[in-house]
Amino acid sequence: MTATQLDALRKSSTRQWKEGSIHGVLMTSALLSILTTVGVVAVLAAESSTFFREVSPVEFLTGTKWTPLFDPPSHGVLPLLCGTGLIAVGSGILALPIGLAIAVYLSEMANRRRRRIVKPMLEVLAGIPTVVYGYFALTFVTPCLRWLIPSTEVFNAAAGAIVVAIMILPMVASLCDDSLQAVPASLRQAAYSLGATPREVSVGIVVPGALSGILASFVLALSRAIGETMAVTLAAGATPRLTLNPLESIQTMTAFMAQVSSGDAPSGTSQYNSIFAVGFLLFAITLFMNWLAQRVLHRFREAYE
Amino acid sequence: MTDAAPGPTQPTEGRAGPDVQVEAAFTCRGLTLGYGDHVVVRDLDLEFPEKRITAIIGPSGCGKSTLVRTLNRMNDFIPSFTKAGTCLYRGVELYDPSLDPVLLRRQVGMVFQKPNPFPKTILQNVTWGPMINGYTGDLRELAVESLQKAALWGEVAARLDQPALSLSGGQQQRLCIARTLAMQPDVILMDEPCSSLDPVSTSRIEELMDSLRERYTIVIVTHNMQQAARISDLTAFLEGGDLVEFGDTDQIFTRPLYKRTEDYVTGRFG
Repeated sequence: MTATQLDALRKSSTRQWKEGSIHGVLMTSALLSILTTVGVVAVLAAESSTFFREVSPVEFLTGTKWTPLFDPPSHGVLPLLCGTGLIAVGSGILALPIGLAIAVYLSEMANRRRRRIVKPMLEVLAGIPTVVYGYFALTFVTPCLRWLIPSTEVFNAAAGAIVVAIMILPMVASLCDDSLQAVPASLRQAAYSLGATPREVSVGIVVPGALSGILASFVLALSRAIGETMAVTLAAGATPRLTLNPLESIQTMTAFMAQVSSGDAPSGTSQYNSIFAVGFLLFAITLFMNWLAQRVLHRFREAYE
Repeated sequence: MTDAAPGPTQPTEGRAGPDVQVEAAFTCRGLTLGYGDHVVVRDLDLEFPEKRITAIIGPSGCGKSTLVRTLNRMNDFIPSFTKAGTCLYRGVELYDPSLDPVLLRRQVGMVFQKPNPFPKTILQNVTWGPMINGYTGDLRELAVESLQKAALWGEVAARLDQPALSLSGGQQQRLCIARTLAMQPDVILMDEPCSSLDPVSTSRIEELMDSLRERYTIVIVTHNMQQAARISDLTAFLEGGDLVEFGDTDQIFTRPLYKRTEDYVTGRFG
């Protein structure tokens, strides 16, 4: 055996430079997204701290009247929170079970050909601009509701909830489908070999096996419904109201922010600053929901090798 | 391990060959199986006698698994699967259009290559099958009985409510057997049930199979020739989709009729 020459193994400065620069580019990209998040949080915190110098957080979180444009203004966020809740819960009641049903159908019952037809159609739903949904609510859903229940207001939470449900449906169906597909085929075979019918396999084995993913997709979908702006601004109205009646006009947190920032509230006024306070609350809620989704995924995850 | 002869637990009268008159659980006549245009099993004539352990051996890709999965219609889930010829289960054509495969599988259970317990508790794994099939007796009692038959009771008696996935691989496989036994089946199909287990777990499963041989018709696919020799009453040797030889396990391993069988069982193949 001959002695190895160091030259054969010597570090190449060109290669080191190449590896280093790639590393740098990739890290910068990652940093960019982190910096954006940090920037958004910083702006929200700074602007809302101005707001909270004028209005106490207790008044903000517990007040039942939201009239920042009146004189004297009242800054109780509960009506907006209630409006957002109505939309989120209403759309959840509609979209979560239907979305799960679509996913079970796609994953467990549909043959490959039907799957190829239905999946892209769902994705088309997800691609429609939200403003189109808003006008769809105004010109189609609301008239239908008013025909069914004549006392329905022109702007109402129900129409908003229905179109938001249509919007989050593809997301629920697609994420649930993914988690159902992740259940190993061997479990389905085991269930079939015990004389189970396709329905018993789906309901008894596959859905419970995918529970963590299903719950996580529910939380993410609700978080999306909470953050939805355009459709609810158009459909649900601009009347901050503490009500649980979906047929009344309400205003969500996002719709208020859209209303004020597209209007002529001058910078620095308390009306202007209030949108940052509402935005901060919204951010906190969706952050909490996403954290919850992660927890649920972790907590209920089944260990499939 | 060194001898192909039956162990002491083996009944001396029990080694009926295909020429001895025993009721057949399955009768295959001119059975041809395949996927699309690809033929996997060709023109097979074979009888699986009841209350016997029949081993199917042969090199990978010889059609063993396809054959055993035909016996409880598990191939139904593969769209390209094709079948020609007859395959009778107690005189009834398995692929008769009016036969409900769901009801068939309640009588013809299956244990798979890799242990596949449900992500439920140990108890629920055993009771799920009888439960969905409307078992009217005491489910817990049935579960205890099945776990005892599967030689697992002693290890899980104190932890029935723990997740099945917390068990070791060998225990999981015995749980899968208990789950199958809880259905009170007529036949148990085993598709290489020990291929993912260590030797200790394997010998426990073999002991278990030995204790089941009186009551059930068992068909086992195995890559392990010593295993086939140790536990089976009859052995079918398949190669390239053809049934080369079928007979008493003793005879197949000690006095095979064909050179191909001899080469395979003595390890001179490929």
